[in-house]
Amino acid sequence: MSPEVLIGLTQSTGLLVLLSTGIGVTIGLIVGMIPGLTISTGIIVLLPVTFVLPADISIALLLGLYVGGMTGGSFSAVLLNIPGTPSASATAMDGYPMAARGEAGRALGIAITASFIGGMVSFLFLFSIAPLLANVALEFRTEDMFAVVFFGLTIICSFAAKSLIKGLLSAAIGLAIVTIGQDPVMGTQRFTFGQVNLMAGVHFLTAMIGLFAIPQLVANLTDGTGSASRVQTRLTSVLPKLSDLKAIRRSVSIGSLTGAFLGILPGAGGPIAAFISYEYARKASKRPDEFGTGVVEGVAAPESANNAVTGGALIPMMTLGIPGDPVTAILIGALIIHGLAPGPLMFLERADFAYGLIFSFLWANIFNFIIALAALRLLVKILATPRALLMPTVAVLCVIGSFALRNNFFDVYVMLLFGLIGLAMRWLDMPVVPLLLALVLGSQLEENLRVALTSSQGDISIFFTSPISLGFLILSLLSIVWSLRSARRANRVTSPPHKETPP
Amino acid sequence: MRHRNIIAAVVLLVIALGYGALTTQLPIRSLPDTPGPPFFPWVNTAILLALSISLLVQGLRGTATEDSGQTITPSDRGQRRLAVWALVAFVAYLVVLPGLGFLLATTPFFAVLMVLFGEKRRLWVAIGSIAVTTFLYLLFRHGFSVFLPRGILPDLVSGIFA
Amino acid sequence: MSILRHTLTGAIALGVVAATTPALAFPDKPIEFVIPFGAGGGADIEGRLLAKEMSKVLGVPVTPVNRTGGGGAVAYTHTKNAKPDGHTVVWNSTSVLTSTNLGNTDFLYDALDHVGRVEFQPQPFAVRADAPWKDFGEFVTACKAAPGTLKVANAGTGSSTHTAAVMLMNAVGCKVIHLPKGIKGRNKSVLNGEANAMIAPLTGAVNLTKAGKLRLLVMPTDTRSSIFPDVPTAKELGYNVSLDLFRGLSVPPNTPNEIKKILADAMAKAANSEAFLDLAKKKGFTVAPLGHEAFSKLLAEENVKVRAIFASAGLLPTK
Repeated sequence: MSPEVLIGLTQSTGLLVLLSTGIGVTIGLIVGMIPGLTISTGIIVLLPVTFVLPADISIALLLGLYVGGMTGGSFSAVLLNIPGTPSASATAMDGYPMAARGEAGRALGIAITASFIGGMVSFLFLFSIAPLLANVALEFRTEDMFAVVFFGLTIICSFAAKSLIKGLLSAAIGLAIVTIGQDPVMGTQRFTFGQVNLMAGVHFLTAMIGLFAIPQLVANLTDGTGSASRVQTRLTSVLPKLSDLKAIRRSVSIGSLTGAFLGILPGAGGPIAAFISYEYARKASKRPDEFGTGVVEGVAAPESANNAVTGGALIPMMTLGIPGDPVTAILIGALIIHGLAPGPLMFLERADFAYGLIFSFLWANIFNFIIALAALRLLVKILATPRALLMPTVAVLCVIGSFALRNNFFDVYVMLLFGLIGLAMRWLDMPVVPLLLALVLGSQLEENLRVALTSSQGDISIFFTSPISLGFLILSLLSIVWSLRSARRANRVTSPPHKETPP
Repeated sequence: MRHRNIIAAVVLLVIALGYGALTTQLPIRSLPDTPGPPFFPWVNTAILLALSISLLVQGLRGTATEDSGQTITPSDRGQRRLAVWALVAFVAYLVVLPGLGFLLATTPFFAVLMVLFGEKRRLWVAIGSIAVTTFLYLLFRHGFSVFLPRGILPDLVSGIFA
Repeated sequence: MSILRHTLTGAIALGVVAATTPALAFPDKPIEFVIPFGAGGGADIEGRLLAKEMSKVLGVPVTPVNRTGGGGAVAYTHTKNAKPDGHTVVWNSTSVLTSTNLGNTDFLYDALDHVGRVEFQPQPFAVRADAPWKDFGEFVTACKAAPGTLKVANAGTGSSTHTAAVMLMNAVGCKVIHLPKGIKGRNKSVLNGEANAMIAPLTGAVNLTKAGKLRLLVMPTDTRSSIFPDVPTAKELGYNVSLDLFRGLSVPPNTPNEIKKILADAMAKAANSEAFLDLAKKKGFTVAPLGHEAFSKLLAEENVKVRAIFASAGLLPTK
C-alpha cells in the first residue's frame, strides 16, 4: 500500500469520522425506510449541516446516508409493500409475499445481508478501478473532457426518460439555466439583468432542493397513502440461516456485479439496476416460476444490486467529476464547497483525501450491516411517525438549506421557483434528473467546448481526430440509438417504473 | 398527455425564442478564432428550438410513444386543493419570513402544513409547530451558525434567543 | 428581490450591531474576509493564513469566505456593495485590475478603497521539463518559425496569467494560441502535452518545478526570484516588460480612514508574522507590505499597463 492509502485509511477511522458515518447510516436507514422520503430528501435535509462541518466528516455523513438509504428502502418494501425509495421497488415483489407469510424477519435479514455483500463488491470496484481511471483521465485533453461530459449527459437522458425528446429537453433547459451568471471562460455576465443575485448564477443545490423536495411534498399531500397503521413490527429472527445464504449465492453475485457495473454508467442508478438484476437472477434461477411468490433470491438480487450501485456511481464522480445521480451530484457539491474539486487531479493532489473517501465508503457498508441488523426492531417503529410532523419539517429544512448554501435569501425564492418547475415537469411526465445534472455539468461542457475550439482555432474536427473524444462521441450516439430502440419495444416487461425520484 | 405535450412544446418554443432574443444582446468580444460568450447560448437556443419543435410535431401527430398511465397529478379535486393551499402557504411564508423573522413566520406556516397533512388535534398542532420551529432555529443558529432571519421577535423578547 | 435581501441583511445587522457603542470600537464583530478564488488555490491558502494572523492581531474572528466567479468580479462586487464599516475586506489581487477592465464588473478598480499590498510574486513562463526548448530564445525561434501554432495555457481569458502571456508574446513579437485552461487545468495541460507552455503564478509552479516536471524559461518581473535564481528576467533577455501578481486588501468605498488604518496595521503585522513568512518562503512569494498611498500609486500604474495589453488583444468591452 502506498502511503496515501494508509493516510486515507487512518483519516477515515478518526473517531468523529466514524461517528458521523454511523449517524449518516442511521439517518439513511430511516429516510430510506419512510415512504415519501427518498435518499435525495434525506441528503437535502442534511445539506445545511455539511456546509459547516469539515470535509471528511461531511462526506462520511453523506456516504453513510447513501448506503443506509439503499438498505432502508427495503424495510418498508417488505413490511408495507411500499418501497421506501424507488430503488427498493423490485424488493417488494418477493419481500412482501414473504412478510405476508410471516417471514418478514427472514426477508429483512436477507435484504440486509445482500445489501452488505453488494456494497462490499462495489467497494472493491471503487478501490481498484478509481485510481487507475484517474491516472488515465489525467491524459484527457480539453476535447476529450468535452466528449466525456457530453456522453455523461446523453446517457443520463437516455436512461431517465421514456420519451427521449423529453429527456433531452430537460437537459437543454438545464444547460440554458447554467448560462445565467458569469461565463466560465471569461467571466462575462450573461442574462443577469444587472442583478447582483444572479451574478453568481443558479447553484445546482438550490435548484435540486426545489426540483426534488417540493414535488415530493405535494405528491405526499395528494396521494393520501402512508398511514403507517399496517406496520408489522413484530419480527421473527433476523439473522439469516446458512441454508438461505447458500440459496442466494448466485443471485447476490449477479446483483452485485450488475449493480456495480450499472452504477458506473451515469444515469442508470438504483431502480434500473435492481430491476435488471432481478430479471437476470430469475432467468439464472433453478426455480424461475416461483419468483414473485416470496423467494429469498428475489429479495437478494435487487437488494445487492441497489447497494452495489453506490460504489459504482462513486467511480465517475471521483475520477471525472461526473455525477451519475442526484446523490453523487450533492457529494460533488459538498466537496466543492470544501475546496476539493473531484476529478483526476484529486488523486494526484489530495490522494489522502480520495482514499479517505473510499475507506469511509467501506466503513459505511460495514456500519450499515451492523446497525441495520442490530437496530432493525427499533428502526421499523419509526414507520409509525406521524407524517403531519415529518413533512412540514422537511419543508422548513428546504428553506433553511437553500438559505444556508450562500447565506442569501434570494436563493430561497429560486428554490421555490424550481419547485414549481419540478411540479410542471411531473405534470408533463418529463424527468428532472437530466435538468439537474445539466446544471452540474453545464459549465464544464461549455468551458471544454470553447477551449477546445480555441485550441483548434475553430476547427471542429478536433473532436473527431482524438481517439478518446471520438470514442465517447460514438458511445453517446449509441446510447441515443439504444434509447430510441428500447422505447420502440412496445412491451417492456422488465422496465422499471418511471424514475421521478431516484434513487 | 397529447394536449400537455402540445402546451409544453409551445411554452418551450416561446422560452427558446426569448432566450435567443436575449442572446443577441450579449456582449461580443473581438478575440480572434475564439468562441465568445454568446457562442454557447446560441448552441442552446438551437437545441431548445429543435427539441421543442420535435415535441410539438409529436404532439400534433399523436406519435408520442409514452403511455400516460403514470401521471402523478392528483385525480381527486379535494387533494389537489390541498396541494394548492400548501403552495400558497409556502409563498406567503417566504414573503413574510425576512421581515417577521424565522420564529414568527415559521410557526404558523408549520401549523398550516400540519393541518394540511391531516393533523386534526389542535393542541398537537400548536405544540408541534412551536417545538419543531424553535428546535430548528436554535440548532441552526447556535449549532451551525446559520444566521436565519431574526426579525422582530428578539427585540420583543430580548435575551431569550439572542 | 434586492429590497427583500437588504431588509434581511439589515435585520441581521440590526441584531448584531445592537450592542455597538457610537464611539469607534472597531472591530467589534467578526470580519468577513472575502477570497475571490476557490478553496485550495494559491489565493485561498495565502489568504486564509493572513486572515488567521490578522484575527490574532485584531482580537475578533476574521472569517474567510470564498466568493468565486468572474475572475474576481463576484467578490469585488460583493465588497463594493457591503457596508463601509471595515467588517468586510476583500483579499484582492491583480484580478482587481483585470476583471474590472474586462467588463465583468460595471466599475473599475478605483471604485473600491484600498488598504494596502501584502505580497507579490512573479509569473514565470514554464514548459515541460522534457520540452525541446532549453531557454526562452529557443522557444521564440520555434514560435517564429511556426506562428500561431504553439499553445500557451493560462488560468482564464483576461486573468492575470493571460495578461502576462499576451504582454510577453507582444514583446517577443510572436503569435501563439492562448488556452484558457483554468487554475486546475493549466498545470495538467502542460504535463499531458496539450499545451506547449504556460504562464502561472510562481506559487502554482514551484512544486512541479522542484519535482523536475517543469522548466521555467523566463520571468516577466523586475528582479530574479530567490527560489529559482537561475531563471532570467524578461528584461535581462531584452524584453522590457514585467507584470507581477500582487495580493492585498481592499474595503468598500467610503470606509473611514481610521478603520482603514487599523486594518492596514493589522495587515502589516500579520504579513510579517512568522507563519506567513514561512509560507512565503515555501511557496515562493515575496512579502512586501505597502500602505494605502504607495499601493494606490502601484495600482494606477499597473492599470494603465493592463488596459494597454487588453486593448492589444481585443479584450476591452465593446459595448
